[in-house]
Amino acid sequence: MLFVEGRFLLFFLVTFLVHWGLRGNRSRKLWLLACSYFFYGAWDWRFLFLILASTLIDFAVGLGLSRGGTQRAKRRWLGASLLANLGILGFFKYAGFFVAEGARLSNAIGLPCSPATLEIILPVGISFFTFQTMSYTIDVYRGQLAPRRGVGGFLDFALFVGFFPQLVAGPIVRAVTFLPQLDARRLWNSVPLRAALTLFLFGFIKKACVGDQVAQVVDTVFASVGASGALDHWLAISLYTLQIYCDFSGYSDMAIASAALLGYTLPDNFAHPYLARNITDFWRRWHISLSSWFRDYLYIPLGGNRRGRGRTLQNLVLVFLLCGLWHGAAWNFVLWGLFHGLFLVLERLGGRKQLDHHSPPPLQRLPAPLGAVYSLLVVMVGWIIFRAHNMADVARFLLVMVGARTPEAGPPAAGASHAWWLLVLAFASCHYALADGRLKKRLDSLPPAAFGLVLGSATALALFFAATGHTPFIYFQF
Amino acid sequence: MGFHSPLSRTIAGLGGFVLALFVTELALRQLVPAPAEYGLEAKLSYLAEAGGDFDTIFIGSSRVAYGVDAVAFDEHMAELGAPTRSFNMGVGGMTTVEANQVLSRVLALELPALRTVVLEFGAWDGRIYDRKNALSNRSIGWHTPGNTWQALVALGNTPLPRRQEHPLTWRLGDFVTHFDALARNLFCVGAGPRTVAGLVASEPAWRRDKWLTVADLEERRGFQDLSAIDDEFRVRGHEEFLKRPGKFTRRVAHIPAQIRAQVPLADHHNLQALAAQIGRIEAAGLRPIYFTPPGKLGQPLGRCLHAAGRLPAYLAFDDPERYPELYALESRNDAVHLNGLGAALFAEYLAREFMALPPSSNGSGAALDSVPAAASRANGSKASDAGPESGN
Repeated sequence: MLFVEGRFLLFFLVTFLVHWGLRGNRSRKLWLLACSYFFYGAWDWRFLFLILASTLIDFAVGLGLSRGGTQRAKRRWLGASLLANLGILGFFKYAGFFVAEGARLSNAIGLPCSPATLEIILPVGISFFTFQTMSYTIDVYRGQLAPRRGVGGFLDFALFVGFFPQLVAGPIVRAVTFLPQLDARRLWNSVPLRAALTLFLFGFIKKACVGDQVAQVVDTVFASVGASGALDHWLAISLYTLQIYCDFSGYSDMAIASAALLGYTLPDNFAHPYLARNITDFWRRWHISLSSWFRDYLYIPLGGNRRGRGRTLQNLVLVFLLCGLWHGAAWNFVLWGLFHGLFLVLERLGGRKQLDHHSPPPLQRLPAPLGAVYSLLVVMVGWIIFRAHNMADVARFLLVMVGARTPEAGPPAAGASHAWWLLVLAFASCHYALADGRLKKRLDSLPPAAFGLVLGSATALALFFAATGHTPFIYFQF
Repeated sequence: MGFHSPLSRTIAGLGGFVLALFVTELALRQLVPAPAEYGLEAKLSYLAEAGGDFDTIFIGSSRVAYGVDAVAFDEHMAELGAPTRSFNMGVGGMTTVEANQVLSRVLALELPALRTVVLEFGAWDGRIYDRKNALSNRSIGWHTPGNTWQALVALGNTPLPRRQEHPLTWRLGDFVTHFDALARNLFCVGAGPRTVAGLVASEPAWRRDKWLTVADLEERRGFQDLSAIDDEFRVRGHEEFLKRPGKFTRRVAHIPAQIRAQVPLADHHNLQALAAQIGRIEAAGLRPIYFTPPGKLGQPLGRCLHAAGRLPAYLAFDDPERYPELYALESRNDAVHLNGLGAALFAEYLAREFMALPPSSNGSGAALDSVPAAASRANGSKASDAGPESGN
């Protein structure tokens, strides 16, 4: 059930009406939990057991941690949680990859090995809810969050893990952000109705009218890298840059808006990332909930930037290596993570601490337009690594782009009409124009009927230009 | 006017939303072209641009598109003393319900010379057989409120097919899909890109269609000779057919018994829709003629409905004893479709049977029916007033 499908709208309408029709906080939470499990079960009901197991384990760990005891005992509880969560993630997401790569390595060094192929289905959103549950146990371990207890506590925790708006593709919500919202009954008066409806529509437009529409051109060029000219490759990567942003941030917008309509606040996940002035800035704007998760639960515990320059750079590379791996069990994701890690390292080099102030490194001191071009180019090259089927395709793609390789004989990429550049241009203008938030403020200041008129016309146009064969959200696979 | 209470603000906002949504959709709807698949848009756009002198239009599935040679038919009609100028509006995969929508579009064109509409007969089946294409542009295109309602009524009347799953499950699934397509039709979901492409194109749809060539329309008037189409699906179908000709011959042997059978009229899943369709054609001053092309099965229902007076004019070519040449292997591309040779023979039979039709209710024979549509419309009868359908 995708957010852009009619059946989701129907499902959400029923959920919404019953939710606000119920009076008690507990009955509402029970209803939302049932709806969330229905939503997840609609993908594959068998994985409901997995999410339930993950919920039970971390709830039990929270209870264990709350019993007090020695630091060592607490560490054991935390270790058990990490082992269980990372074990589940590792089995479902990485087992096949590591077994296959292990066998390849073994064969390469002359030790014949042919393990049975592992056919493991990747449960939708496993990386997201696993990171959420881990944030709970870590926060409880650190004493930053009181563990949930009793039946009511379990209900709260289960809803935190399974809350359908963010369940399958984020944003990654921290327990410390979400659980307190469950303590009091949500009030209809506090629902930011206009903002939520506008955000949902924006998300829909991003996903259905941009992301899905450009997918066909992108897929065509990436399916036969090198078969068309340099301009087609530039177009394809420009469109993929749009697609992945519109797809993922569109989903996040709809998730945040859906939660808001039910009275809950989810954290922002994107802040106009393609306007970033450098890669460090990009990661403050792209998938914020993931980058901040890695910062708080990995980078800082590793020492962050407090243990000298060498250790800082080492930590950065490690964190981004794991960030790449989080996206998928494949070498291109690992390389993509390392590629970004490398640029983060480069951006840290050259800075000097002077007597009275800290002079930022050269790559962080670029003038805004130049910085935006620099970071966009780096990000686009990163997306080639991310999207290509293999390393040979990455190299071929880059060579064709810079004109160092002529296209192989064959017809031009189907659908790669240069009219798509107009879409790229339109998107760039909107991306820039919407960054200051003035449009949203103007919408907010409209009288109710005028707001309805604007939203109604925009909805009609969005439906008109929506792609009909929806492709699943790219980030579902992560 | 100020909106002070939360309720009045909500009503104002909701009212504005619904109003703008429907007004915008209504405006956009006027721009949406017919679906392009298998030359549907091309044929309709050609009719709109150059169809002024056509007096006979054939509507139906691939059996019509590849089986009715309009030029040959006209030549035979001229030889028989009743010249016609006909056009083949057949499109591969067209169901009875979709044909009803195509009919609406044809009637909306108000072609001045049009006198006769010849429709391939079907049982108005509301079931969804092709799930993959259940939400294609074509499927969405015919799901107007009126057509969807007729399809749902037909679905309700459809008996449980053999070897199907639970009756509730399949029927419910089809109902939901019909509603989904209706919603997409009402809100023109996904029609934007092709609408814009059509608006900015320098040539009309029929000149830039990939399925039909300009010659298919201008010289062959919508007919496509299947033997000349180098399509993988067509070639495979033909090869399979030639591999096992006995299979076809055995099926054909059963047809005489099939067509002699008396079947209940209720086998037609929506007799009301059929009657309404006939009414709309007649109200537009045209003559409706239904026909069954030579296929691999006998079609007793058309005969029974005709005998019961439910079909005003019906031509049945599904009789291998009467039309053995149409069932000869050399006349066929496959079990369902005729090839070029078969189409030429069929045109001759079609013309002969046309001439043999009894006079229509206004007193003239089919071929000699001289009441032009324009004259009838001048008398106050309008296609768009006649039924729930209107071209969209």
